[in-house]
Amino acid sequence: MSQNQKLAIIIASEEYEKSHVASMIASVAAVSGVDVSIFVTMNAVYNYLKETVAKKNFTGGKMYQTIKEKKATMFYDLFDQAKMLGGLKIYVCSMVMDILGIKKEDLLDIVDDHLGLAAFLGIMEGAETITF
Amino acid sequence: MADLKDVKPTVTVDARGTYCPGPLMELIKEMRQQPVGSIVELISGDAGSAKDVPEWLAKVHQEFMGVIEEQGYWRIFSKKVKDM
Repeated sequence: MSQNQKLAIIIASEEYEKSHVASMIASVAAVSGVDVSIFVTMNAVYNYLKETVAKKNFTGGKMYQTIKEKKATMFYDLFDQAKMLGGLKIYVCSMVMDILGIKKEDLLDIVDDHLGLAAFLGIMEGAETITF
Repeated sequence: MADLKDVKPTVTVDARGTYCPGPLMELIKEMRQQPVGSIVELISGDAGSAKDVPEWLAKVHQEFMGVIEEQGYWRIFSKKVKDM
């Protein structure tokens, strides 16, 4: 069997729109036979907390407001759907969790694991990489 | 090629009201469930779908039968030619 194409996406920004576009790209890639790995780090981690999602406490601009108004599928549901249909893994930076005192159970269920950089660099090897 | 308008789809998925990549994802869900040989009609209100769907079908080696543009929506026909 030929090895699948690999895509790595790093999300560091807390801007809602960045996670949204990442989830769209990841979804389409995952259902097209690409192995997708997401690394959520820095301020972006706030968007992957159960509390933030429950309160819809996102930082975003005009697009975020419109996405909310039009009830478009939110980024975490897009990720969830993509995980059901294709190969997609979501990792949160363990350094950020450590600094902010975040536990695994504080994170959304779509998060597979937390990783250090060496582990994520291993995953990125030979992968096309996009950063948000 | 037979006229698309005469094609009888096995199933029709109406994805109007969902935004990109919603219609594509709805199509994929349906195609996974249908047996090989099925024709799936996707109805989408998203202009991008008419270009996205054939691209995706080529990538996963399924058949694109064609698209009919209606007033404000698109009817996109796909055929499942192999397991997925």
